[in-house]
Amino acid sequence: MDIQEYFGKCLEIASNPENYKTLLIGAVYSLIVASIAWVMGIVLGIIGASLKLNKNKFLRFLGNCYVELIRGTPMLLQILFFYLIMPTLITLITGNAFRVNKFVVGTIAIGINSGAYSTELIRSGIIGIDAGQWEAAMSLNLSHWDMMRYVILPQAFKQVVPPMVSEYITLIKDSSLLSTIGAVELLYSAQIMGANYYNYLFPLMMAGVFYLVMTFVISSIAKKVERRLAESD
Amino acid sequence: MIKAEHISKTFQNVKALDDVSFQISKGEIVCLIGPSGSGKSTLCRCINGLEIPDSGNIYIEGKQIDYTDQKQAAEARSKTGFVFQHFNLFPHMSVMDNMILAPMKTLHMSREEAITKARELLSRVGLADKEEAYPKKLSGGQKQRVAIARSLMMNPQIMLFDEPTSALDPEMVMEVLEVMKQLAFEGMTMVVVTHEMGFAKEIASRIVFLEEGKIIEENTPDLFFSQPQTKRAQDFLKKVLY
Ligand SMILES: Nc1ncnc2c1ncn2[C@@H]1O[C@H](COP(=O)(O)OP(=O)(O)OP(=O)(O)O)[C@@H](O)[C@H]1O
Ligand SMILES: [Mg+2]
Repeated sequence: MDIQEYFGKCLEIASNPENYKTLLIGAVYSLIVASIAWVMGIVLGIIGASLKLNKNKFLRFLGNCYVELIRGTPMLLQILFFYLIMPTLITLITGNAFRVNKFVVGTIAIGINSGAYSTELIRSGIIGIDAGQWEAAMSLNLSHWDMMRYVILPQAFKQVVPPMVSEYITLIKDSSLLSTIGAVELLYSAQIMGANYYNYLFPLMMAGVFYLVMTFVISSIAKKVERRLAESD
Repeated sequence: MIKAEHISKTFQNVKALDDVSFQISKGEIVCLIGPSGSGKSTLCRCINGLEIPDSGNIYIEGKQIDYTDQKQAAEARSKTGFVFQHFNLFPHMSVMDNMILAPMKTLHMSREEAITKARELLSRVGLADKEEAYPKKLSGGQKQRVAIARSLMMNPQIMLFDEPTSALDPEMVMEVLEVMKQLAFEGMTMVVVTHEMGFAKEIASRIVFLEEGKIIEENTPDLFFSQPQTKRAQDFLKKVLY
């Protein structure tokens, strides 16, 4: 095969509208995985941050374990754990064959991973609030819950929005790791297409374009939101 | 009304308060003065439970308060208002929301009731037209007046002021002092940490002079300013009054 043939193949792939559709569907899956994992990560992050900021030593320890364990190991290993090890363990323990959906376990793994990073983001957002805010709330006799709900968290939220958006963008890219367990998201769709045509140039480059478009759109929306939040300060 | 007995507090290795006993009765206005780092803020903060003393007891209306106990702390704080040097308004809320949050949540005031009361207090501090404004649009003096009004929303029986004018531009000091004077004339019990000697002389019923975590001298303003008893107070006054 010479270079002309190589690019000719590209044109052939590029001129088939079905191929765009395939990639688009893959992109939608990637976006769904990233979005669910992100929301899951935020929920886990709120829990993780309240553990790490807790008065109770044991709860703080739990929070630290979670964060250190997740951040200290590769995300791919965590995905493989949930895909390869966990179902087997459950099967062995319960005696019933336990089958998993690749997307479901993959999303859970990424969500749990993201939760550890969100824990740190939210925690630093909260401890970044000026001590005077806590003291004023305390001197006004607000309960701990009201203080968090009305004074601390709304201010922490504003500080946490930008890094949370970056986290979302990271997740869109990281969702491509699910290709390794055969979940047909954007990257894996592109790989399959490449394998069919014996040519990866167009499919992979096009997948890259899809990732770029998604991340670009999200960061543009985020910039608008941030500007809005800054105004209401 | 408030009594602190043998309070000591050490930070790392700084003795901020060293066996300090202090009391204030109803209607009294006590000004705490002393050089920087002498423990004035720490004393104020201990009275309100923002700091927990290492040793010593605090009594409010004869009742000993353990600030590590949430219920006791809440009861004690419901009787005291605290005004901070840096105002500590909630920046994400309008003036009105700053005013009504705690009364609604803590005193279970209805929204209408709280708003009515807030308007009344805002006009008393001369800021009736600012209820919609956000703190960052206010000048320092206006912020501090809102902070005072916000404290008053909780019906405190005693107000603690920790250098309420120290963070203000000079031209804004008067408007805050005026509000405090008005409060004093209305009979509010007040503890005021201040470097405004003229103000202290004018409204204090008693001056408490601290240095290095100890109360060095305690007297009526007339006597304290005209014939300070201790060498340290004399030196301090010489410095601040030129
Ligand atoms: N949270 C803290 N951590 C460490 N040291 C502290 C803390 N708060 C106060 N101190 C120290 O305790 C001493 C007394 O401080 P305090 O703030 O009570 O003094 P002050 O009389 O209010 O002084 P100023 O006029 O500067 O406000 C100082 O030496 C100060 O550095
Ligand atoms: Mg001070």
